[in-house]
Amino acid sequence: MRCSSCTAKAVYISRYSGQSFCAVHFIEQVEKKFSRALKRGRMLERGEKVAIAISGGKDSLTLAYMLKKLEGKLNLSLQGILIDEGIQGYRQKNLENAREFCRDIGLELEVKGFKGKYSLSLDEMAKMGGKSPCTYCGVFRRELLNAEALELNASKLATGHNLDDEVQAILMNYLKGDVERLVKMGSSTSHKLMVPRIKPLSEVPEKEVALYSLLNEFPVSLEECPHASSFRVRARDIINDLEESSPGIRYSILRGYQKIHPAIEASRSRAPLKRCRLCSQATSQEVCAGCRLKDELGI
Amino acid sequence: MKVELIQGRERRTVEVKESAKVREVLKKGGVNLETVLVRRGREIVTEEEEVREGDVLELIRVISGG
Repeated sequence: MRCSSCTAKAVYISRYSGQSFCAVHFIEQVEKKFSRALKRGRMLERGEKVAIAISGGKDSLTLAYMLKKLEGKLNLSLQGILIDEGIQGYRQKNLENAREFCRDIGLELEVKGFKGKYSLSLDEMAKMGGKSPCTYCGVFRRELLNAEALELNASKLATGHNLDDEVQAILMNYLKGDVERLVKMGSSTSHKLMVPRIKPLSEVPEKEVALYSLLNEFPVSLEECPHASSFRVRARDIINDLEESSPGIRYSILRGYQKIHPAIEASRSRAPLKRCRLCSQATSQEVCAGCRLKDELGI
Repeated sequence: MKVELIQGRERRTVEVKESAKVREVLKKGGVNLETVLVRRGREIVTEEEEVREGDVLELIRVISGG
């Protein structure tokens, strides 16, 4: 099969658009989606300082690479932040990949660990605590990333969430009836203690991010986190089955969510953000989620 | 005809009809198209590529992270 735009051999068929792409045109179309998401979401302005959450996986390396390409054009100042949660047999390899990659593209990388900050690794939290490892990881990673981005004086915190991540989160929140999170995930946060987050890859399917990183020969390991939540895995399987039989369903779910978001947002009154009574971080409650988890873990 | 699928350390053989396409091999092997990239030798191939007797297809899982 040939590329729809030239005579070169196709490496990818976009089943939702019916187009096929050679390596060169594939890379071009992924970069267009990235640029379109940036523009549509008005994510960046000239001269911004952007902290990039790096995990060493395909998504964050792709994000860093693309932002690095924009650095000169938009006069951006970029800084990578990697959070080492302490996941035996998983994080170390990604950490090495991230260090090598950032050195190659000329991106400064700051590494912070759960162990250094909370005195426990995620593996230890998972053993000691009564909650799912994803709960500790989600809350503490967010907390550390935000704290680091604040310290760097960054105006944005960019994360590598792809289309599949976004659609899985939408479906999971629907299935759980968690309207608060459905509202929160599509809203921008404005508070001096919260660095606004941007997700420039949120319109690129996971498979396309993986192929982009492979064609560009990024040093990524396509391994799944050993703590991956079973509920997310089920949501992912449902969406992949639907996408296989009805190509384009992921975009439909995302667009549908974007259409209803203003209505559900208007119907809920969100508690204003204030400072946590214990740690002074931004929270909508008296005590932030991080401090509640620390209390449970006795740290 | 027989086509071999390799995914990580796992190897298995799938039997398909002559001039079958990659997507038919994946279906026969119970692999969702959305979850893998397929490499034959050093080349990435699409699901519409025809397979040949004795082909070895490497499946690269696209799902990573948590």
